[in-house]
Amino acid sequence: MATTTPTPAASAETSRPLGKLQFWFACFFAAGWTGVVCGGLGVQFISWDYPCPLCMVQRMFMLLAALGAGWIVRRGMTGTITGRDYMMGWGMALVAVMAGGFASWRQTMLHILPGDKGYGSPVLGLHMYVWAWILFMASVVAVGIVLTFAHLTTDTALPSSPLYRRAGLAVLGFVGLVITVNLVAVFFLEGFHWFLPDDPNRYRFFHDVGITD
Amino acid sequence: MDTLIFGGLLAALVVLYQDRPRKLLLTVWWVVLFATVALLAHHITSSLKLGLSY
Repeated sequence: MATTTPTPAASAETSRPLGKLQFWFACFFAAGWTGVVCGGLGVQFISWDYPCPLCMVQRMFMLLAALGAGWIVRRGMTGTITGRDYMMGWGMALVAVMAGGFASWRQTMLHILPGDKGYGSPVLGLHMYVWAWILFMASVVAVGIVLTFAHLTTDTALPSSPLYRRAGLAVLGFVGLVITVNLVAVFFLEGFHWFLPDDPNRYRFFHDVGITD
Repeated sequence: MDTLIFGGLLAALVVLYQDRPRKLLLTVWWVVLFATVALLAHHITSSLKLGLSY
């Protein structure tokens, strides 16, 4: 284990041209998955579609994956990312995207038979859960590629420039904002019930408290 | 359940941002993950019926 977690002093001697790449890829990964969840929110509030339970489950897995990359981003903000930090972050991301991939595959299979129009409105020709499956699988490949080039892209000491801290703050702030919006939205959608119905057709909180019929 | 899970996600992000020990973050993250898997299992109520008899 000692060989995978060199001290900052030791790693500074082996700083590579592409050594910061995994930090920036982690920023892209966390912001990217959060952006995908924003797409779901857009369809929910702009097209006024009610997200189904499996859609919400996929959003949760997307944000769990974002938190994996977010760990690498957070460590980068301190100026030091050890080998075990990179492994922990990408391990979390891989578990989450595989679980999300199963959830989106399952939903795709529910609507694959001829004549089934699917759930919700298509976006760019495909339903949201099909896009989600494609992106989950693409993420598995992307993390695999990143890990194979770990010897070139994983500096343990990052520059003391405020750029890294500002970028990290922006990414984690974005993730936090989107989690909060989802928290509020799903509370209104679910109301005081344990589970969402299979086919939601209203924000149950407002119905439960008598604001809407 | 969904609301609680998003609350758990927010809690995990707070733990991550505050740079608390990784054991705490991993505990919260795995609890949220298993809760999400349990929620997924709850919503799987039938087989896919993907036979070629349609």
